[in-house]
Amino acid sequence: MEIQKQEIRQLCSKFMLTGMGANLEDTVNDAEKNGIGFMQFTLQLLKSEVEHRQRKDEVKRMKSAGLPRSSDLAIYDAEKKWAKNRKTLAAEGAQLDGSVIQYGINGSLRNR
Amino acid sequence: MDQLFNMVLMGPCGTGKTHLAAGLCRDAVRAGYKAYFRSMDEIINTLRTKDFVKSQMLEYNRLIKSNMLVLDDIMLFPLEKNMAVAFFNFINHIYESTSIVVTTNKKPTEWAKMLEDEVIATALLDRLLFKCEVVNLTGDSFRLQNRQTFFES
Repeated sequence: MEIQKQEIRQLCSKFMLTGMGANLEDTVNDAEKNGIGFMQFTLQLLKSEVEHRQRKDEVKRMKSAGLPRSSDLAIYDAEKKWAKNRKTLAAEGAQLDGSVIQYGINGSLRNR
Repeated sequence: MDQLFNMVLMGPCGTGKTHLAAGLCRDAVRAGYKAYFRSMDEIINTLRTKDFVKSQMLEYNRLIKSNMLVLDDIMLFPLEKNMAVAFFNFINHIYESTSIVVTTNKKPTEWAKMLEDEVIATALLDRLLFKCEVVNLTGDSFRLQNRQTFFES
């Protein structure tokens, strides 16, 4: 039994199914304990591989995101006074160069 | 994000713009999106060196394929003319496929000064504000409020 498990792990490693290989022991024990069928067993193995890949992908994306230390919204002070003022901003933007915006050079579908 | 909305977080220093933007970026990553948090300095460095440094070209390609890009502290310092043009071209390239979150403590009227070109500043704002939520954060700096000192009484 142990030799077979070892061989399965080696094959998983060869086919880069590391999640499946790592969870093999638990999945086999679970299957033996609950007496689940081949279909359910195969499904559990594949699901463990998918979950492993998703976790790995998230870690990779999180690392390349380059987030600063304080980036958890759970500790963000939401009591701060917010003021949505798109109009104010647009008005300020218009002050840049009234003529440029007034004549609609940008966004006047020139590129279309 | 799926509707490609942008967000401009404005306000003085220490009001939590960066924290909020970073939190949104983290949540986007957790939700399965490709989201990146970069300072203006990093973006300018990438734009300046991408044609000579392979790793910066990889970074550039990564950023133009992103679902969300946070640009932290934009317009904090003046840009050279060629960099202002490169930055505008970059935004123009991604704004139809990427949600852009911007944090800034400069009003749009001051963007022109930083870019040394009113037309580029207006065109940049035009792209960013096309589909955008603007959040103006107010209040005192949390850093000054929680200022730490060496000499505890």
